[in-house]
Amino acid sequence: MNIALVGNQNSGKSSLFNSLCVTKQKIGNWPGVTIEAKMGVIKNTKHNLIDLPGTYSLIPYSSEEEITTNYIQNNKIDLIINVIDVTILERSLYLTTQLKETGIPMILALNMCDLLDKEHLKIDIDELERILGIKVVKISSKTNFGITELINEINKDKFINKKIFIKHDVDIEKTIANRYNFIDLVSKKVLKKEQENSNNKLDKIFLHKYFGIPFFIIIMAFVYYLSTSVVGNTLSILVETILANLISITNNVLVTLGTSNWLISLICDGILVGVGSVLTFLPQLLVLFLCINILENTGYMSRIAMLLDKLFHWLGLSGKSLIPFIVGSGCSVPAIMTARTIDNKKEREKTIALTSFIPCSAKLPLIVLISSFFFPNYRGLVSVSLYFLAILLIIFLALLLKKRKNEETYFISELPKYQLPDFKYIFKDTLQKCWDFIKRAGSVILFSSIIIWCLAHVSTSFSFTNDISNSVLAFIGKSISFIFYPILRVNSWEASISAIQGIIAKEQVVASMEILASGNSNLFVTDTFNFFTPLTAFSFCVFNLFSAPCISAIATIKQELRSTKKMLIIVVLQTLFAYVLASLISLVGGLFL
Amino acid sequence: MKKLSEIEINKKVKILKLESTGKYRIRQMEMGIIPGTMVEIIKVSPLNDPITISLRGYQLTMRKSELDLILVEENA
Repeated sequence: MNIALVGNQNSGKSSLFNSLCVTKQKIGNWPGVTIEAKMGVIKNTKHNLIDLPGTYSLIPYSSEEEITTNYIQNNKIDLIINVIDVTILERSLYLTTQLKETGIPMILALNMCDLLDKEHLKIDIDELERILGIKVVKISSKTNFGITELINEINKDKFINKKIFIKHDVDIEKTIANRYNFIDLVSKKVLKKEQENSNNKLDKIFLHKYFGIPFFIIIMAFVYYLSTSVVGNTLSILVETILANLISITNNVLVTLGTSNWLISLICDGILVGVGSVLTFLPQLLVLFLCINILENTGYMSRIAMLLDKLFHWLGLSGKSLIPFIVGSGCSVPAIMTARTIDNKKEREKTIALTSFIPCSAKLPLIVLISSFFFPNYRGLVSVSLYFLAILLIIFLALLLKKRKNEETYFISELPKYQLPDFKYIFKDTLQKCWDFIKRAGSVILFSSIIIWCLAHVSTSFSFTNDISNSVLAFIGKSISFIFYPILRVNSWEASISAIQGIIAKEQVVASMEILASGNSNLFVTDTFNFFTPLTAFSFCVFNLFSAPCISAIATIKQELRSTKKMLIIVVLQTLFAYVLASLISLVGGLFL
Repeated sequence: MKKLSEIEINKKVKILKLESTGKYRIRQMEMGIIPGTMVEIIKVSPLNDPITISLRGYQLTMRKSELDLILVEENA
């Protein structure tokens, strides 16, 4: 059976999906906030379950909602599991009435039933079943309550599917009103509210007139401190040590096996170093994804959008743009996809174009490398200044792109209730996101590592060489190094070729520099790179941070904008912009220093 | 008849009319903003915009300009 999981945003749909399914594969490959539809097989059954993006209606309002409507209209679905937040019965039943009209058999899963007592709610399930003409199951995806019963109901293979009567009018507005009239009657019959209960206490703090924004800054600072310094750094060093050992062991094993030199070099210097470079910043990504997941799961992310909407609106963006920017500090790819929740097309396109300016975690190795060597006493300050520069650039470009006469845009979005984080779901989902990242980034890097190794080990007369300065790579680098002269103030083919590789993956820049400096991790004392001054190193960093993003992000931009032309415009303009900015810093700085 | 944006915080009012148009009007209605519904402003962002209202047992955030499009009756 093909079963679709449909529900409003914040109905706990993804969490239910996790409780129901054992194996799963993604239709799209990238992690997002349930933005790509996920497929799975329900425990102990052979039924396929698809987790469709959250929607409030089958008349789509954002491109994310469009996915769900299109899927329901164009695919053969044997059963819909409609998940609703039982504490918001009225609004949630709106989608239910629309789904009923598709005629597809349905089961209604009343989620968050563990909160019924706390919210002083009583619900008459039998009556609800009778009125809606479908099976209703009480569940809680958080506590696993009712999950077995839900699976049993799915396995019955026979579903009650009686028609409900809602008058349809040619005027869509009247039909909407009719649906809500029907829902009003239903909720009067089945729902007993003993007292009004709203959890607004936390918003007295988090949306406080004076403390709301400082709290936000503290929370975000803490998240980044945690992911980049405390946990991230410690784990990264661990991963690096493990990798270094792995490489030397592999090397020894291959030598004893009598493998030829070039193959050892390909495996150890090419593949393992290249792929390893992705893994070293994985801990940072893991912690960052974990924190972002917690912020989202508790409901705080919606508050952030609300806090800063006014500022973003002034920039011609939406408060919802902030979420892609925050996710973008981890990885641009899922970030660009999160922009689907922005319903206005212009705001969404602008957000997508600006997201990759946020230094992602793959750019961090370069930031750390340069700031710690050239500015040892101001390391933190220089790193932070680059993030601030990114923010200033985004503000500047957003204002530049802002039309003088602003078309009317809207914010309308639900403010979900605060809830305790569902750690079972959060851990599972974070690991899944990281795993997707490794798979995708790993394969791109594996492929490019091999190509670059080949270019670096084939001489211009097409024979194997260990002298990299005679290689095809060096030849390419030498012929383009003049382009980077305004930034570096020197013709360096090694730096040029490393910068170009940023387009494959940003962490490749540092990885390539290390390979070119013959594995010497103290890069800037080697003959190859000792020409760097603090100023040119900073300019070089600026170019790498703000030029075209990596190939995966570029592909995502194209896919999300559904336009190669727009993608090319963004990529070319970003690169030009970064080039001019970096050259200016190098030039103007040179006059003063 | 007043705009919802002019109503003070924590005061229950009844929706009379929507002045929004097009796709957005449909969305407002689908979110439950229908003439006859009781609403209340409950939260204001620190920068005074957007504003959260409560209706049909849930909370919905909109910009002031969006609340301007909702006409309400004060003494319901």
